[in-house]
Amino acid sequence: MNTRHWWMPSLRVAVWLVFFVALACSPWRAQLVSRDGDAALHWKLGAWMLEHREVIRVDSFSHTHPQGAVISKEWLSELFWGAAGEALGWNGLVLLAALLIATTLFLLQRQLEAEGSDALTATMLTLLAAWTCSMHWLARPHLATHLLVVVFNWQLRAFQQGRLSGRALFAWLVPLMALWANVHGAFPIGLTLIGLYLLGNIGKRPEQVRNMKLLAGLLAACAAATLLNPNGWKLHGIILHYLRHSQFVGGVNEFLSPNFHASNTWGFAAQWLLLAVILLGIRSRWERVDLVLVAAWGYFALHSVRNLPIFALVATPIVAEHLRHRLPLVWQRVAADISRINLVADGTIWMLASLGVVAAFQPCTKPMTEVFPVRAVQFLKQHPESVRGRMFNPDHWGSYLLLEMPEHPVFMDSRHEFYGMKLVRDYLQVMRGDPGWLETLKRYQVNWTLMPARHPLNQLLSLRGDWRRVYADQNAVIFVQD
Amino acid sequence: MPSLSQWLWLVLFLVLLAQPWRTMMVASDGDACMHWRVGDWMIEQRQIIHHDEFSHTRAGAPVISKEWLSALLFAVAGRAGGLFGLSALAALVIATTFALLHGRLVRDGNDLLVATALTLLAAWAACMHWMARPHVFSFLMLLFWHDQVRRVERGGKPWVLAVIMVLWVNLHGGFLAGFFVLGAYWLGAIRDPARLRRLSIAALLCAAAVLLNPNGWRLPWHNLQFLRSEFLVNWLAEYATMDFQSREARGFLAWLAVLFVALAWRRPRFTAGESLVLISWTAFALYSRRNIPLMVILTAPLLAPVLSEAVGERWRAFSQRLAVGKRGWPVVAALALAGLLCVPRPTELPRERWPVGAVEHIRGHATEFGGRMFNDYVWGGYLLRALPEQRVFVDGRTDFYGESLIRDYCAVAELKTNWLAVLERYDVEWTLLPRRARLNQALAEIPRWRCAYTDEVAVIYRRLP
Repeated sequence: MNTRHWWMPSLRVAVWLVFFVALACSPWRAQLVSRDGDAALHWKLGAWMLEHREVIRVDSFSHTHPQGAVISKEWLSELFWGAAGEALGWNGLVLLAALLIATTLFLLQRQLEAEGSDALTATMLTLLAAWTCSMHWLARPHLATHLLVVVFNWQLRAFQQGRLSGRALFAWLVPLMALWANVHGAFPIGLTLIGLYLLGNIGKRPEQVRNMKLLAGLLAACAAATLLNPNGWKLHGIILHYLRHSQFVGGVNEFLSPNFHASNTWGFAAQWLLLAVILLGIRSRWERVDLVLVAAWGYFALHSVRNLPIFALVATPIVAEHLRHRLPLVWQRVAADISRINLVADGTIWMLASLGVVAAFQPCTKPMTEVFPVRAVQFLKQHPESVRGRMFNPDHWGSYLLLEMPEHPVFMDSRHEFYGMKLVRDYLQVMRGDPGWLETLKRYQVNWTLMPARHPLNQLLSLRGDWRRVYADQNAVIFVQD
Repeated sequence: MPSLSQWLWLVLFLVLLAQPWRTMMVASDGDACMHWRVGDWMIEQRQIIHHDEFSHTRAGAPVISKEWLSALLFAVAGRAGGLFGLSALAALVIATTFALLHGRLVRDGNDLLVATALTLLAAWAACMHWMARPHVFSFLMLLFWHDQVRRVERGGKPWVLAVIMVLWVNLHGGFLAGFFVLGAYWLGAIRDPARLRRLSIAALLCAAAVLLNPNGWRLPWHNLQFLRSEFLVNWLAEYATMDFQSREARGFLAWLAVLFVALAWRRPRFTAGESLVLISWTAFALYSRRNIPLMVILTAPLLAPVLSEAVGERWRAFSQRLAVGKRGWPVVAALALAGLLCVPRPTELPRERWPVGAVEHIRGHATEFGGRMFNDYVWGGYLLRALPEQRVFVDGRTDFYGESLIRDYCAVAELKTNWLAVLERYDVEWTLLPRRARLNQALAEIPRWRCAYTDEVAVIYRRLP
């Protein structure tokens, strides 16, 4: 019998180590906190809750919607992001994000191996899934959704394949759903997954009827579990309201349809290419549940780019199953050799050690100066007298500004559903320079603007005699009304 | 009694002649008018256009006319029936394409109802790019081409492909699609020397046939150069990826769903060439929305046998009962002619979307608009037709204007930091833009510029002397 070697990392530990260390220590770490402003937003909200020891319910960060009622969709994860940020600054956010991403991939690979894939195939497919997921790797609460998707799908597949009892499925998923409803607003994905498994089991055969009953019960129990959050059913209401109004969703890049001209969708394209090879070359039999899952998540991914990682995490085990017995002989031979070594490897110690080492020696993370108005904020801190009154800012900078300049409430940040449709419309009117933009600025009593250097609003303001430019750099321009 | 293919042709033709299609086909963008104007010029001058006659930004620059033959056909249709003539010609080509597709599916031995349902689904998926423009000829040519490539694979005559290519290369720049299809079958035949030889001969003949156009080798080179410009391909809306949240994506999504379910459920066996066509054209359709009609035309003959095998006996019996009539063309032609004569004809583009009022104002005050214009890109083609006495800043001939000029246009339209310098460099004296354009807001702040006209659609600003 083989004994496990604690010092030898298995392939999935190696994948965990590579992603954790690379994300935490390479230049990628700046992208994790800079690709949008939400990392700063969740840090700020979490820090506020830690400071006040209560869940946030009213806003104190904007001048356009002061004391407006806040329904926090992800208060629990914001606590973690806030704690990480307060303890280690931007490095803390990066560490938490790297930990979540690496663990998600580790679990995916673990699932593939548990379902019968060899270590080499599991590693390659996990890397392919990582390529697709990487387009949405940001230091934000949605990373918890990625992790929970893997856990849910793993357990549901185990149940479907008869490797997990119905009771165990309930015991796993119902508490996890309650957790999901508190860590991220995308918890309906969990309900959708259960619903799709239910759909795939519709039929008259006894095992189908049994599965249907159990999955229907699970769906009801999980739906009830989502009510266990500080806002009760209002949380569901705000999520539905947000998704139903294209005015909100249409302005957010991650809710748009994928653009296949952009390189960040190529991982997704590669996964479909692999599926095409399975469909046209291998031509193996498809389970109905798998057909439903791939079709549904393929559609959701084409609908919204933020669903691309979910597709990757759900489709990868299905791809692995179809490939399992149809791999070339050379591949099977190499995989068998690697699997023999992998079987005796452990290496969990490396994971723990790397956590400590990276936390201690991680290079300093700063938000990218070409993305955020870092120098403009420094200027405002050094010359507070140069601006007075209310600010107008783009939403993608709002979160950074409310973290770095809490003394200046923002006009807008990425919480569009909180600001409401009317305010979003007014904001867009100014951003687009539509007729009436100046009247809107006056109506909100805006006295100064902090805008990207190339934004057309700067051109419009520069033509007006009653506005003057007080600051400009490569990235940002500040105009002040006289 | 007409056959189902003939009925399908008639229904599609009449639907496209009815509203809203007949207006949508000419009013979706300005290119229908642009091609009409270019064709008109060639008829008037009795020569193929070789230098620009319509813009002040690239006046006299050499023009590679990618679609001179279809521009002539559209101009003839326009002269005969105005905008309605353009719609009727496009309707004729589109209806013929899909009726021929249906006929071919039936001739291939597919179930009649499956063939009909699939053709209608293909039409639904493709209709997002039905416009009165030369690219509709590419739909028809691709149908013939794919059919002929498969025949050549099985021992057909390669020179027929060269004949199709000669016609295609003069009708539309989309002839490059033919080489991608041929290339896929060629790669698929790499282990079969006999098929490979036939397809290689066809490829060589077609490569030679491409040169039989007024611009010789410069035409394919020009097209390839355009496709290599990342900026232009990303900028043009029809080269963008389909917005899968839009209503117009639903047909294509349904097509993808049927394709996926058919492949996973029925597990058909395709040749390597067919598999390559399926994979490559699905990828092209996902990459660029303008490839969607081409993708469905190419994949329908591959999908139909898979679905035909899946239907039950009762379905098959019902299908066979519908297979009546073959020689119904006189009836169909008479009904189509009646439709053509009875349908009310649009004489102008919709006033609520196009600057019809502004053009009337310019015509009424011709002396005030002597200098150079800056116009909206989409309106350029319309202005070529509506204001032939004025030269435009830009129009839909993006490949002709090139990356540098389009960047200048964007700098002004999007109010980038150098917008005023660009306007001065081109010595622009007046602008004609949509009401919501940012540039109007900027010009309103400059004392040297005055608003000369405004309505619900367009605003004209004029620079004071």
